[in-house]
Amino acid sequence: MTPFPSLRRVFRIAGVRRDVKADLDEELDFHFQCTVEDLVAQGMTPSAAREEAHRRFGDLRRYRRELESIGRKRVTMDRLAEVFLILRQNVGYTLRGIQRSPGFTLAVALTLALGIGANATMFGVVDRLLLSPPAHVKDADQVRRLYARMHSRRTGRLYHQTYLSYPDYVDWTNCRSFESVAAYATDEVTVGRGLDAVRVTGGLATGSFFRLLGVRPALGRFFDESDDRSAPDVAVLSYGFWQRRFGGDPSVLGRTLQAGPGRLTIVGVTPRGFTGLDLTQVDLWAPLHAYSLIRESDAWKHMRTMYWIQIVARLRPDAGVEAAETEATHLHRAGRSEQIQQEHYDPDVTVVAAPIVEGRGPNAPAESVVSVLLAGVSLVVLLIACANVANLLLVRGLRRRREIAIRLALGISRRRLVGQLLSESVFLAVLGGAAALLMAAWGTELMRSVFLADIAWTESALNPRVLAFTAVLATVTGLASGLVPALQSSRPDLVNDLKDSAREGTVRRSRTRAALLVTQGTLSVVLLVGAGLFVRSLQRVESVELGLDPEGVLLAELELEPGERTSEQVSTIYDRALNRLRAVPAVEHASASMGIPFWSGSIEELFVPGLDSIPAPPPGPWIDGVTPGYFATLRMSIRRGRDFNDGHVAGATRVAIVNESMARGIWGNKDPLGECLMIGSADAPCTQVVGIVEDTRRQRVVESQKWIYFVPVAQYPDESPAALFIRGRIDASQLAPVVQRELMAGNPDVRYAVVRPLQDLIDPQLRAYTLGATMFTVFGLLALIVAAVGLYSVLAFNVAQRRHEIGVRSALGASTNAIVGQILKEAVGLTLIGLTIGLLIALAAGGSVGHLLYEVSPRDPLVLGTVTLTLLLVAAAAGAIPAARAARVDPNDALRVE
Amino acid sequence: MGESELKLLQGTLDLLVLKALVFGPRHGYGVARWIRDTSDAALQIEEGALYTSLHRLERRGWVAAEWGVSENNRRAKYYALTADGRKQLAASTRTWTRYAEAVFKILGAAEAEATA
Repeated sequence: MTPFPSLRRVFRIAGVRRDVKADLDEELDFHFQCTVEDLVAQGMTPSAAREEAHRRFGDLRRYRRELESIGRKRVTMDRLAEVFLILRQNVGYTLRGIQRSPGFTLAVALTLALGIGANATMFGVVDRLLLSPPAHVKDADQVRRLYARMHSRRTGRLYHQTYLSYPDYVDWTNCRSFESVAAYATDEVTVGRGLDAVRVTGGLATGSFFRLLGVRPALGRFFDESDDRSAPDVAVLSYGFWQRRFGGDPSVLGRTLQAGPGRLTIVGVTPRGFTGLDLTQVDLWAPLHAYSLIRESDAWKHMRTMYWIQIVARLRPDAGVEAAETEATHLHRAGRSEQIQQEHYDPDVTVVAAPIVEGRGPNAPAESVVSVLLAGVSLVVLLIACANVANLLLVRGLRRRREIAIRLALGISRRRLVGQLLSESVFLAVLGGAAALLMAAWGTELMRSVFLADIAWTESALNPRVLAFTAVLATVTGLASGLVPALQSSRPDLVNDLKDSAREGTVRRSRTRAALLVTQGTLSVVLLVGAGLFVRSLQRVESVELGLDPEGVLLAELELEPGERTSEQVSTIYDRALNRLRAVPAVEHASASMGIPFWSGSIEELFVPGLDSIPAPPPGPWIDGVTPGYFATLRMSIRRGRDFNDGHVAGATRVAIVNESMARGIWGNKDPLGECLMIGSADAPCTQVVGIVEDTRRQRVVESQKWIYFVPVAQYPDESPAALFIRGRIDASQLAPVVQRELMAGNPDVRYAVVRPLQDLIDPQLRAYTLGATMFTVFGLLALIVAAVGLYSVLAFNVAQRRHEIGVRSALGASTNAIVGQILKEAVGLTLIGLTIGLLIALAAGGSVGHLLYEVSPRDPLVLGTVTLTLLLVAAAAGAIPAARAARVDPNDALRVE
Repeated sequence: MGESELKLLQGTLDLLVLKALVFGPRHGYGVARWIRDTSDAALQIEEGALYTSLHRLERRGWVAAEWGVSENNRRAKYYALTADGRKQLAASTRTWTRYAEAVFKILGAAEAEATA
């Protein structure tokens, strides 16, 4: 732009940045002085001359304003041009630096990519689980989820009840703080019939639901209060289901659909990405009253003991959350007054109106909790990466200190120098950020498919929010890791650095570098301890003796054609199904039961002669009606006595088999065989104990041992089996379609058979532990590698810098051992400090993750010991190469450099 | 109407200011004085307008400004033509001369007709 940009720059950098106004004042003053002087010289009086000068100039104020505005614009343009110039120079400088040391660039970019990538991945997950409100919901802040907060009557523990009863919902429709209230429930439902049928997730919702959320249909209409009455006949499809099942055909409106027991007319389609208020996909929505069709009863409308719906409310714009909670509490206590009087309900119950995102409410799912923890962990990994990059930059700054000293001596300002050095680290971070996006895309895919498969991921892994987050993070990271090194490098000891040899001996040992190394060590220790604890938890959980062997077992549930049936008729259908299954060669065992382990079960009042009450651990004791062969199918061994047989039918002697805990709990050392149980009431006929079966878990993998007893389902009055269990001789996944075909073909009563591995009921319970253990380990190892590389590079640099000193020492007779020892001592010393601080932090913070662990103390000595040993080994390994190099220093070479 | 007159005036003023600098750098007062003396004070130009013209030309890069010392030993802001400014001056001069010639021609023709 100007002929001598470099001169202009020097001029500017010297600090002349004139104020526009002052400049103008001086120029105009000069003008008026000259004019007046000239006029006076021509013979005017000074006052007349001043007047004439002003007349000639014109409206001074107007011109001043104009001139100032021109001046300001000029300054702005100049500054922009300057910034652009500096930017261009910095980019050039950075690119030259990268050309000179590609290895360094790669190391830094990779370190940052790991750190930023881990964060981008976790941000995507946390964003979906916790940050983003449910898609398509208008003013989601105003929509609250209602919980009943109360104390367990049995244990006194405080808890939040998420699922409530329909009458509770009706109570709250009168709440003045709420604009509207809605309730919903989700469950699996079969759509279609026979071999054509599919299982989908169905949502039942009150007529107010869609209007409350403010969602607009993608097609057709939603249902409302006029549809939500007895015998509803409409359904709304989700966008995804509409695409999958109907190919997105718009003429789907008006068609009918067999969903569960109901024939429903499709009236609308939800917008793409709408999943209701939860994170899981709902395929089909129907009015809440369709529940009557499923239950074949309207009792749910009045039963306060049926906890099955989730209730949400939209606050009035002027209503505060606390006022709403107070009013809702009042209504809830009034509605439940009868139960409270009968001491069946906590009189101090309060209503909590929590954010609509479940992860932010009082009953956050374990996945959310673990994800937040992991997001914190990924931030720690990034901190370690930053520390490492800062260290690498510092070391590099030291290597370049002659160059920098020369540049400073030549007159470059410190500000400009820091700017150049910073722009270099920001560029590296941007490079790292780009690589991080690749990592995040891959990592997110892994997280989604492996750990969080149930969640409906409506957005791609690299959505705009993740991209923005990554960009900001990369910039901040670049600045954070570059600032200290840039400031330090720009403050060199000019005299020493310019001296010819810039010799090794002049290097001061940097406290900053040592502090960074210690920080890295500390953080790595914390992460590794976390990883260790989670891995141990997972091991413990996985090694829990379930008592039954779910591997290779299929669980089949039959959906029968609608119609009235007696329990005998249902039992006959199941008997027929069992017979068919047992005829299949690949089936080893097949049996049926009423309850399903890890899913559903029943409890009956139980009386034992000679006992006032049954001291069973709550809840319990559980009862299950099973067919002969049930124990063999699940590989539960009968410790004493015998299994049921086909002779144990209704009318024959009543028999029962109890589990070990129950046998021990009731009869102690006495032989329970032949003892009596009175089931249902104290005057029920005696049910004779004929066997003892091994203990099994009932509902959860992680639970206290429950008391369970079994009776032949044929002897259970008015009940029939609800599930079939099949143990195959071949792989379960191969057997499943065979079993399904066998159950559905040739059985006109069966509309659909759901067949899945029993393991599917257990796996979700392990997921939080798997997620925690895997991700913690990945992050912990990342941290360790990064820290090790950092330690190595700093030690290697130190050795290179101190060649001279080492040479002198070995010339003076220091042994190789002493030299190697000194390097290793330094490595291990720094590590020990980091280790100590890290262990202290881990011990202090351990309590806060205690609830996420299973049967592992946060102070588990094995974990702490392993981490200590690992870290010391890694430190020694990182120090080994530099130490070996130090040992090879030839005194002659080192001294000859001088 | 008023606006086009203003623009014409402004363009003309810029031309005069550029011309004033063709003989070497001058400060603002120098420019004002040169125009005044050369035109025998025939053009009624407010000096404030001269300064706005100078500053605008500076912003466009046709004129470069630098602080210097005046003949009477005071700090003064000196303006000099840049290479771009010189080119602009030549171009504007050509345009203006053609324009003026055209106007003269028309005015001259009217006079001839009237006398014929």
